[in-house]
Amino acid sequence: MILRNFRRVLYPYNTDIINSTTISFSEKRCCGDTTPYAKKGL
Amino acid sequence: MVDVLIIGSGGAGLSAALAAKEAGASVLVVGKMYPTNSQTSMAQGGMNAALGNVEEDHVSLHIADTIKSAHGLCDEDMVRHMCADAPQTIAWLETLGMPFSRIEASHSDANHNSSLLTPHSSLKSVAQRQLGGASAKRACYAQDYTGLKLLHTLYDTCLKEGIAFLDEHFLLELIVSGDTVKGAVVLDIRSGEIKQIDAKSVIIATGGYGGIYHGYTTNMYGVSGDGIAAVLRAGGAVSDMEFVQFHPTGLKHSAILMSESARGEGGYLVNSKQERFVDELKPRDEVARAIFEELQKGEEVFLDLRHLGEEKLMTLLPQEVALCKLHEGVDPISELVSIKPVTHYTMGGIDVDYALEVNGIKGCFAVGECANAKVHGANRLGGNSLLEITAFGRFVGENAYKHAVYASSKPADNSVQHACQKKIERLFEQEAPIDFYTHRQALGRLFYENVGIIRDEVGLTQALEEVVATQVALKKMGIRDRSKTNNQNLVEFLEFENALMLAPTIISAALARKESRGAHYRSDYPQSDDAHFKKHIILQWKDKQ
Repeated sequence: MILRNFRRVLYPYNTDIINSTTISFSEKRCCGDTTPYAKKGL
Repeated sequence: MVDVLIIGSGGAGLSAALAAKEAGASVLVVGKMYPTNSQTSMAQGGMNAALGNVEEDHVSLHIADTIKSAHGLCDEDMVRHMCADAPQTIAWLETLGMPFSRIEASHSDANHNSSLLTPHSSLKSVAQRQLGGASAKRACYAQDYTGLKLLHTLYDTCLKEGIAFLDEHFLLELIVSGDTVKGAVVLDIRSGEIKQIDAKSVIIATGGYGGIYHGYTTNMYGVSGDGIAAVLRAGGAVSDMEFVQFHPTGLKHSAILMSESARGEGGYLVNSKQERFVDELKPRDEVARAIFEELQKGEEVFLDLRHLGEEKLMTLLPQEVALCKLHEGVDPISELVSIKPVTHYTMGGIDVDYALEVNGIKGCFAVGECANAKVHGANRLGGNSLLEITAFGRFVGENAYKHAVYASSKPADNSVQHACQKKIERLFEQEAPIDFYTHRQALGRLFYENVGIIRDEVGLTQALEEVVATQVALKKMGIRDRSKTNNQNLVEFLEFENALMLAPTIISAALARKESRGAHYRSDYPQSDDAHFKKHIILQWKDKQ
């Protein structure tokens, strides 16, 4: 649905772009664990 | 053909230029304005480095604070790289003559962690202050002119090193052959000439996209994401575009920044009843939302600096005092300062790898606010932006040089330059019955209200519809000043086009992220959802225009 929205937005702008737009999710390079650093502190 | 072409002459671009030059590259820096007028000049509060000059601190705590503030969306290796480089970055700036504020050297001796530092004894006397979200007084500063003085220091050094500059040149397109960058096409604003610059490596350092929030941002009007839009058109990827940081304390009428250092030095936030309602030193996203909620209740919110006294204010925060008097007509020494949260920093941007090379375009690098190096995640920690531009600026300069050593020296053909020439000629010929300045203002208000501090499906969808309408209307917009030289109307229209191109990427990502995380707060999905959304959202056009 979101991709469709993005394509709709671009539709009047450039039809070549619409047909080739990708929106994706990546789990790589996500970190939220502060424990090792908080423990190491001072 | 130059080895390293740097587009953008703010702090990131200048740091990169110095590093590339030192490595042995021929360097050309291109900027649409003059270096000392860049957005870096507006940074006030400071630059984080765990020196421990004022109280106990450690690099690992700096890393922990940064990861915590990023709400799960930072890259641990990149954060470690930046934070570990911070003391050496401050030492490097010391050698260039950066005029940091100072403390008594004896004060620092008790807390100092000497194992972290290079043998620059003067480093011990660099003053450090508290900023929001930090577990120690960590931000090195130069009164409240830190960015300006950093910029002057870097620019002076660039001039001394003989680095070449092309000021007042606007980036039109990147030149990409296959999947490798070959240079860029720029508009010489002064002459109106379209120029092709051939380069072995290109560094984009053009700043963020906060200017989309026109009239509701601490950014200058020209922060329109020009480099990000050019990368997207050229086949590169952008990521985390939905994360836009709102600074808690913009002046109510002018949206000019009141630095976090004002709260770091002890300033209070109070409502109309003169009651404090939030811990002023929480991370920016939390403080901004607390202020926004007070405003929604009909309260006015003020920054109260009166108790700090004239001597402290004039010593540590002279710019804040001057800005309040100049733009709001109030004297913070004796009066409350009315404030509102406004857009300040964009965490998303050009998606880059560990070497800061753009994903999708070889030989093209990005650094600073235009890039998403994944050190800020969902919410940037105060004091980390000046650090990022300087530490990663030097890093990317070296990497761009290394790429240039092995890159082909065969220049690209001039097809992109011709296409740009035709586009500009069309703009000069076509009628412009619709005034784009009105739409620029409306887009800013639309984004502040619907893609702002608190978002929901209805508001975001409505924003998307209005962006569609504006893009349809764009065909009837254009320039009314037909001057070939010094045509500011043309530059502002090109900036508006870029901002409008990025607008749907921000909204689409904000719609897709059905949760709340850091600076992205959805009232219809108020909780974080790690299972589904502890992920980066990446947008890319697979086929180039």
